[in-house]
Amino acid sequence: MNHTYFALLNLEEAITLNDVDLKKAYFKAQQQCHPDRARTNVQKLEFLQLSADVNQAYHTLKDFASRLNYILKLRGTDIDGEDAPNAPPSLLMESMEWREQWAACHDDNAKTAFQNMLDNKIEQYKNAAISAYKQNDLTAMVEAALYLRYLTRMKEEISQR
Amino acid sequence: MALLQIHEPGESPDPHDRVPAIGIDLGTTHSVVSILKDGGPVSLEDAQSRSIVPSALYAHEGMIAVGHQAFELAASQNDHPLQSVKRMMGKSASEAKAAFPALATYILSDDNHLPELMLNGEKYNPINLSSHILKHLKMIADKALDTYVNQAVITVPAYFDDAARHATQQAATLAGLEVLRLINEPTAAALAYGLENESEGLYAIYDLGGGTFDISILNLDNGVFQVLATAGDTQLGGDDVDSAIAEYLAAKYELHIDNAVVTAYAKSLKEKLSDSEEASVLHNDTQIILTYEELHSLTKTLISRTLSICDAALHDADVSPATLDGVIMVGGSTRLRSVQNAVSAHFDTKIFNNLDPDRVVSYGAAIQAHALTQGAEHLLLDVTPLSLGLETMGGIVEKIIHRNTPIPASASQQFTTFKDGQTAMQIHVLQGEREMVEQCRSLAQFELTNIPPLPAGIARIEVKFIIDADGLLTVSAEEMRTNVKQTVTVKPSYGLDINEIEMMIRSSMEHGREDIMQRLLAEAQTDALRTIEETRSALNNDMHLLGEVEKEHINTCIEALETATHDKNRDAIDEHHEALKVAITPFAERRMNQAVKKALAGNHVTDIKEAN
Repeated sequence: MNHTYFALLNLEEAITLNDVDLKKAYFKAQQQCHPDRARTNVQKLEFLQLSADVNQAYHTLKDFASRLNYILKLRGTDIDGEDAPNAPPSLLMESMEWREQWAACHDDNAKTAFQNMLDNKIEQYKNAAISAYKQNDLTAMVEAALYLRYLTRMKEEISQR
Repeated sequence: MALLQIHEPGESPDPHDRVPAIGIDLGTTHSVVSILKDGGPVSLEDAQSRSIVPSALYAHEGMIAVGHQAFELAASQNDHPLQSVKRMMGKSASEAKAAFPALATYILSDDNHLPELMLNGEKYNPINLSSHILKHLKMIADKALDTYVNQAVITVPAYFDDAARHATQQAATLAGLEVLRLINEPTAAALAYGLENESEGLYAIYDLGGGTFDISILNLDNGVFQVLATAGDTQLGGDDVDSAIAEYLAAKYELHIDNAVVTAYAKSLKEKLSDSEEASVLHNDTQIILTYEELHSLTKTLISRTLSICDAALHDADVSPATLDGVIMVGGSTRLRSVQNAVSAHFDTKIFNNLDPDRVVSYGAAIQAHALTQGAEHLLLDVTPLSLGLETMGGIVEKIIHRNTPIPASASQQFTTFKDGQTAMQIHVLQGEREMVEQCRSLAQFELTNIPPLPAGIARIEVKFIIDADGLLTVSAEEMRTNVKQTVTVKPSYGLDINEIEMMIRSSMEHGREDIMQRLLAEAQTDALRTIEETRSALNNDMHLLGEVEKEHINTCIEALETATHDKNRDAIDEHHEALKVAITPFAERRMNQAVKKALAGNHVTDIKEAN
């Protein structure tokens, strides 16, 4: 693809995006390139791919973590790819500790406290990612992205139980 | 101004130049065709002012009657028409048999191919049967608008899979209609409501029809109808309520009669119970009674099933019921009080049901048909109802596009060869939520050929999927190292291939004139029989309004028309039909006067006698 997801939605690249503004930009882009807006059959085929890309762009940029991962991909680091960077040892140690803590949560109060701790951590690494982005510190961005991945996965796992 | 204007293919000519595009709700139990007129949707009527057309078919002497005519023709043969063809769309013969036992007796085959149905000695399949219904609707539109329509927006259940959508599109092609767009029924209903009320906000559309159930969660924001999630069951609807009641009545009253008759009783009792506590029908000497309480307990399971599907859709949309601005009720089955009560208790929000639940879907289709041909401000953003995946090692399905992904959607997946020099590869596309191949629906299987012979693991084959705005899938593949491109024509597993469609269109054109003559004859016959029947019943009731000579003349005309109808001579039918109409005109006027007098006089028999 020639355009970044930001460009497809006519947005400047940014680590923080306002939900309402993003949705507005998404609707505006679809108003222009949805196949129902095509005037010829040839155009309809072009719009089909464009509109699918705009959908993918909105889906990717909507969520903070996936937006961060996408920005990293634009910078040449694909944390979903085959050559993804390894998680730092500190993260592996911490995630083992989290699991032990969760296993020791026997009542609702303890469980809620643990979930709050996860939410705080997520917030902490979001902020870390934002300042790393501002200082153009790729290493710190990757670390924050990996932490966010582990934390959100942990959060999903415990909410399923 | 130029007399002849040349347009780009697909580009809209001036609004006043063009034939209007129609909106069709092709339903399980009934269908409706509408257009947008003076800014508002209207349903089109046949010559008898009926706009709700039963999705019923009856084959007789090599031709097919549709709608009300199917019922009339079937009744004249002491038979029942075929209904609920939609339940078979996109299904293989064995699936169709299992899904809807009532249709099983018609289905000849029991295999993995398109079902073949035997109707009075002729073979049909669900696609050409649906095309007959579409042709009939097109004919109603042609007559009502005095033109030939050729473009339509057709609605399908949101939960229809790719095979059923393809089948619907093929049926339209066979009927001579260009499908501008397939839109999901709940989305169409939202469009009709949204533009009617200029609403904004978050809505659930609860669509319980004759044979299918859909729920869509939709966000309406500045003219954008954004579907967030959809869920449903294509084998759940009012039909199932009818069979449950029928089964219950047959057991309770020990009725050992034709199932279709009991089902008809069930249907009529169900409808009567929409505003009363108890309803009854008379069967021979038995009074068959059904109470609201009984109906309520018979529908309990079905309704709670729809509500748990609603919860799944809300979960996928990440929406809590409390944030909904309302629930839009669509489909004839939402007239059931039990359904209304259960839905409003479950969602605890405002219920919208002020638009006719039988017509609202076709209204939405008409609005979109107009929008696609003449432009509009609003935009529909829908989602794909089911996940799409590929078979991988060990019969596991790897999901490529997840359910509730906004459409159009595209995704690609890379594969490699596992043997040295391998030049071909099997690709198996499936739709469904389960993990294993046998638990999902097989959409298509195809072989990628001409892969350049390379050592194992070197070739990079990218398979690309695109789901378009209609929810239809296309697949293409490319070998990335050598750029060998291959666009794959996916043969739907349970549809017709391109050649079959072409053949059927050609044969329908060859037989076109024959078909039209047969149709005109059949219409003339049904119309004539209707007049005869009406005259006879009027004669029975109001014999006293006629003198002996008049009576004899009318009877002679009836006999002549009956003979002509029997001889299948259309000109003679038309001529004698006209003669009968002339003969009964004075009689009809006298009956009208009598009715008026009766109404004015408060029903005194003596007054009427004096008048004559």
